[in-house]
Amino acid sequence: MNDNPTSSQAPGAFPATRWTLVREAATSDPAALTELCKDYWFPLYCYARRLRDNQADAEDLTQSFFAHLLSKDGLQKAEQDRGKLRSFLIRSLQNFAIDEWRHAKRFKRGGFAQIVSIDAQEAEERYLSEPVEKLTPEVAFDRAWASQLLEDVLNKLSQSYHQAGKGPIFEKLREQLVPGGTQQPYALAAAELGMSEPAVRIAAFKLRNRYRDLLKQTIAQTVSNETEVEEELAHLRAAFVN
Amino acid sequence: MSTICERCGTSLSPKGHCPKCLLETAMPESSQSRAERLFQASLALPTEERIQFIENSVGDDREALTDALLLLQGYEEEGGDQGTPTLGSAINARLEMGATEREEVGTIFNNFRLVRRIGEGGMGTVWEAEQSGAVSRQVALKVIKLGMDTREVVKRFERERQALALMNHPSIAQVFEAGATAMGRPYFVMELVEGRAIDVYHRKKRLSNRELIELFIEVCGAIEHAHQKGIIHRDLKPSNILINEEGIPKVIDFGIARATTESNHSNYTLQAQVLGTPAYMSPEQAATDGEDIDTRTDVYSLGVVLYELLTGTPPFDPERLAKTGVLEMQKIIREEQPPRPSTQIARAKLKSDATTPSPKQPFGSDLDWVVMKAISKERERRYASTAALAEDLRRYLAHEPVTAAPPTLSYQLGKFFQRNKAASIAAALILLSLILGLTFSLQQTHRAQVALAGEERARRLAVLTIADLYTQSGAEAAAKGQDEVATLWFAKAALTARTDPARLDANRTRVAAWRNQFSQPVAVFDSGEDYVSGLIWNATQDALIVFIENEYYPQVWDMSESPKRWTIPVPDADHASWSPDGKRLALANLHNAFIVDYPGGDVIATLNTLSPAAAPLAWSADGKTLFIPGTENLERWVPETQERHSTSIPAPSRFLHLSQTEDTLLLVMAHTLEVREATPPFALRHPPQPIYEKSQAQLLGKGHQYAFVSPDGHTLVCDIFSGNIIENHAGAIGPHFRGVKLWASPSGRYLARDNHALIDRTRPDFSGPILNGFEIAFAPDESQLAAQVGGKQIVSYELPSGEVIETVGDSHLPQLAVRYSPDSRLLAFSEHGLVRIWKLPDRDLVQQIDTDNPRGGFVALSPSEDRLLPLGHVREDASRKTTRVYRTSDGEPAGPPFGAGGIIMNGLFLTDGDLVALAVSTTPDRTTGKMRVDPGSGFVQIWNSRTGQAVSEPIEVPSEPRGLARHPYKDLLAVACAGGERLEIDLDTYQASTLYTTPQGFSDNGAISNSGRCRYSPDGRHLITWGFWSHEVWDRDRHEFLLPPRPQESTVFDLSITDHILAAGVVVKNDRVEFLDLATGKPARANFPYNGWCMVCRLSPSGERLLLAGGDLRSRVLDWKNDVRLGPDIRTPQSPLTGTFLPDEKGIVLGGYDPEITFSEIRSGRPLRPPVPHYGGWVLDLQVINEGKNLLITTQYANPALLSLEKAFPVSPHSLEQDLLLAEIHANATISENGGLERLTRQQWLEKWQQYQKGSF
Repeated sequence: MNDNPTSSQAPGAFPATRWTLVREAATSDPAALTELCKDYWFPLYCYARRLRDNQADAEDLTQSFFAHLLSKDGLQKAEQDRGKLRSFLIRSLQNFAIDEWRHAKRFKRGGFAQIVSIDAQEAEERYLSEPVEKLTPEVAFDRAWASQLLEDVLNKLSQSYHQAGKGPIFEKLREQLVPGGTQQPYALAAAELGMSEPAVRIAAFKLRNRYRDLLKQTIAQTVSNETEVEEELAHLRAAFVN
Repeated sequence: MSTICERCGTSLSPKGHCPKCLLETAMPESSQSRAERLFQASLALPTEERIQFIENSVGDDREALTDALLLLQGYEEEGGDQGTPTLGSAINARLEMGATEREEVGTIFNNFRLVRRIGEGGMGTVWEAEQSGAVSRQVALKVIKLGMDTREVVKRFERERQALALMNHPSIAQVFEAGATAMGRPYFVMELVEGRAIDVYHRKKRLSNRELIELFIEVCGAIEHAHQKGIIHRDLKPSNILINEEGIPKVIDFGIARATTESNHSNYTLQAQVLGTPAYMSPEQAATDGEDIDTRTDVYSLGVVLYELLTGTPPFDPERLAKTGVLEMQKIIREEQPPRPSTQIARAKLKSDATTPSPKQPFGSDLDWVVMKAISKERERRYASTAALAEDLRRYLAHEPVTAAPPTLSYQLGKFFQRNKAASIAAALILLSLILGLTFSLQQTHRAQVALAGEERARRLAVLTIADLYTQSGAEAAAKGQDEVATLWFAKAALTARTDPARLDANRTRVAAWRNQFSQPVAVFDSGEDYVSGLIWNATQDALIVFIENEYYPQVWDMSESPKRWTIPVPDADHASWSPDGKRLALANLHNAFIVDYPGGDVIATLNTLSPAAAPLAWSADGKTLFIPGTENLERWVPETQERHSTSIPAPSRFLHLSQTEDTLLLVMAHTLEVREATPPFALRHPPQPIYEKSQAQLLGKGHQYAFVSPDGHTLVCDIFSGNIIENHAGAIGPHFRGVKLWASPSGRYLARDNHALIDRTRPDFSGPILNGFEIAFAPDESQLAAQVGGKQIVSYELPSGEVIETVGDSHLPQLAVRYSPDSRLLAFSEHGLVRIWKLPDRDLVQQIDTDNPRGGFVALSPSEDRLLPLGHVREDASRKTTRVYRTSDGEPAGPPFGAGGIIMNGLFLTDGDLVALAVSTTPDRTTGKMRVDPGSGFVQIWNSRTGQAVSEPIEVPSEPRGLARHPYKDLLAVACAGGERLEIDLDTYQASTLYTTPQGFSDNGAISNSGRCRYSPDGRHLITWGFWSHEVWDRDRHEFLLPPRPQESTVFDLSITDHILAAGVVVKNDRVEFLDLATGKPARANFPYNGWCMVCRLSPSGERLLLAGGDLRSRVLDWKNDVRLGPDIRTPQSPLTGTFLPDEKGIVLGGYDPEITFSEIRSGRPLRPPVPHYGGWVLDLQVINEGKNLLITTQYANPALLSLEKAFPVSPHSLEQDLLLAEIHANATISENGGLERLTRQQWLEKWQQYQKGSF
């Protein structure tokens, strides 16, 4: 917390991310993969919920999807994957959902066995064509993903401030994370915190820097290389543009 | 607590934060404010330099200066760099700095001195000012009125500042910076521009529309530049577009609207006030908080500006907008449809005194559509960019077709009815014509208004206008290839115009002709469930086995007599297969196999204990034996005797194929395939092949080869005996996750895979269509294939061309199965839970006359049109030395080949018997295909086409013979030679005598040597000759020219004679159509000008009508005596080379450079039937023959062909209502009350279908 505010990025090369590590060892350490993916069950559920008409089915789908992830097939797919964690999960879930649908049909009805190749695009088109609360399942997923990510970042941020005994500063200034908002003037915050206005300003400045670093670090956990961090950030923001 | 972010309107997370804003904060471009960046950058410097650095860098942005200094102070207070001096006092001193100033001439604030007040607007005051300091210059300074949050304004401006700085365009005034006066008012510093607002300039300079549009295109260019830099102007209006004395436009105020617009609804009034007038505001800008704005908002505003420049007023009266409240104003902008510019002018004209000339110039409807497209309410309908708008304007100026077009009928009518619910029909008609600009010019409307006192007449006219609109929509749909939708519009048009015979007939013709383009439903079954999967045709009867979702028992649907269905008493079956004779069916479930009798439906044999991984069943050809996967091994079963033999080989887990020769089994497992002998001990023919995981393999044709997908994704064809690879077709594994399917046509010629191009194994260079679907079917006769595309439609492709025939089905749910009937006559496919059975269309319209020398070129017809003589002669291949006669009825030869050495230039049937004359060239370099100008040499010879014997010796002529003509009643043959000699040959003596010689011979006409023709007038008195550089008429009685040659002045490609009138299209000089009265030698009427090469100049058989077509691309039909055009121009993308009247003279057919022959109605100019494609290069000649039954088509390269006009114009067997019903069923849509196309629900579709069946069966 007391580090130089200019250091916005850890020095050195882009570290092997958690996602790359987990991915590369998926078959040997399946638990790590589940652990990582578990953080994102909600976006997955959101997606599933838009695929299935009711809560129970969506839950079932999410649950069985995790079971599938842990299966040999799922783990191998993870190891072969070269993309982002988010893309991997949504792609896998898309495939899994269609697969499951086919599967159910196949065991019920024999003739179906002849129809084997159905791709993600077809499924996507099919669901895109059904207006569900205006959002496509993919956008819903991306939005939920971003919210989940931000929730994590804010929790971490809050924790680190509280641990450093700066809880009140965080609580007072968290509104300042977003520029141009309706936040109270610095002078007022300064008075309430018993600090000078310049001190509050510098604290807010640091908070924002810290927040940005944390967000990027968290995103970095889910992608393969540094350039993808900005990409991912832009992608997630785009999910909120109508 | 609010659930919506106050800043951006996004839903807040449960914890109350806005994800969008939080992400925004982390974006590189918005992550830090300017002050923060300056502060951070300053930290790299020694402490004592920091304040100076910030001050130098910040310019006049006082707010940023303050913020940066405060940050620096905070940093110091925290301890700063340890052990270095603090700057506290210095910072404080700076922070307390600040003077007060008032704005008046001479006032100085920051480093600007106000020189002159330039203007005062709703937003504030604009000053001319002098900037001093590092940069010394004259600038414009816009000081915004108080009442705005200065910090916000400046902050917003700062946000866009970098992008603004990137703009570098001569027509964009730069905005240098924004700042705040000491009083706290924001100001903007801009480039000082001398000039007048564009509307003022336009009025003063009295620009022509062309000048105006050229100027406007420049403005578009400036805006496009800004858009490319990511800047949206948001406040384009005439006063922001200045034009200087040199006529150079400058767009001012970039970035200011954005900075001064409140992003909050509650401040709407303020926004409106700030922007001065909302007249230029796009609907989305008026409706939203400004967040959801893109470059198309500027397109809209530009459209409004153009509208105003053209008409004198903006689309919405600014005064009216100013008077209304905010909500009402929004409503007007969002919902009200302004009149088209030309209508606006006309209205203004009607209002004003008619005698005063309008200041506004008239213009074509194209410009109307350009403007209307730019100011569409829905931005999707606007131009995507200002560049596209500019391009369309450029097109307009160049008289090219613009991309903007009248909105579709449904859209127009929908809007029309919305607006005119209570209007009388007469008013509706006038409005319709005004709004739609279809049939009536304004003047005619005016006349109509006066004449239409009678409501009845008005009603009739209105109805016909609406019918014409339907026809128009149909033609538009047809142009897009939507044949079913087109048919629906035409059926509706026919029904609407039933009182008008011409419209009724034409539209009925269209209905029948377009309907024949696609398949027709013969039966439909509703499974009652959502999905139908397997469809398996019986080999001999029109019956199907059908698997239905959630149905425990499969069904048989039978159309062999009348449609009926019954349930197969085998529960939960996995597989089914008809016996080869179609009299039994085999089914298997997890426990048993069954044989069921057809059509009886009883189980006649059962076999138990089957493998749970049941693979398909394979019948032997005699239908006596079945291969069935047993518990572990493959088994053979003879149902009749209940004999059961277990084989020694494991049951295949995926697929099982038995070759037609019944000697080979192909067994497909998950990762390998095996080829085995089909008799014990079922030996492997070669080692098992690895295959792509869970992919399919096929035996090809009789079964000596098989195809499969290799593990690396290629499609391989192997020999069954050796396993050697015969063919390797490159492939790739797509996004599948459950194996790859592979289909083979019955003969094995074609192979198909999802996401791969169709393979024709006989043509390695064939580039077939990419098939994209998880179900593909080949017609058993290999005439076509059907594939699902995108899971939503089934598209059929013609084989072997690979071209799309039609699309059937249009569903949100995948069609799960598609299968052709064994006789390739029917197509069954499932869509939702429906199974539809369609009869494929009769596509046999054109019959090729299969000459043994399929080189194309002209033909000669016998007088009774029962035989034809191919003349060939295409210059690239000028080698046709023999020919023969063919029957037109069936294309069979009617005699042996004949000819004598030289190149055949022309030919003619002398009588209806067997004698033909051939004009033969012996010019030495003829065969090289060179363009010729020298006279050359040759002869004429008479042959008996039936025996193939020469009747005469070669009759020498002075130069290469080109034209041949038979005298109507004397035994004379006229010959026109390339050297200018015109001869007559006495057919009794075969002696030639020269009539006359012209100084100018024929030269070749481009690639096809058809230059040089002659014919006698119907009374035989005149010989008419025409061609390249030639056209003259000789009076045989008087031995003199009736029309002398005009060397180098006239070239005639086509002429036509009826009775004693000769019409000729003369090109080269003063292009025109001449009318010569052969009886008097005088012009029959004044010439028609013709702008271009007139390729078709044809009088109708009745002599009343004249068809002109050619290089001006606007074919037209005239009542030539009365000088009346009989319909609008029929536009073609390329020049027609030939054309003729259809038998009833109500339609014409055209052919030429385009690869299709078109049929158009003269009255409306709209197509009468779908174009007929051909593959022979250019169409050289079209003739209606056989008493109107056939159209003879002659092309550059292909055989002559006969198009059956009876098939081309089928007569519908249905009533008008039935036609409409059928069209609705085909299109899966209906035309609603207000003229829109509405999709049918499944229930509606079924009701229509039942209604149709009741009426037709």
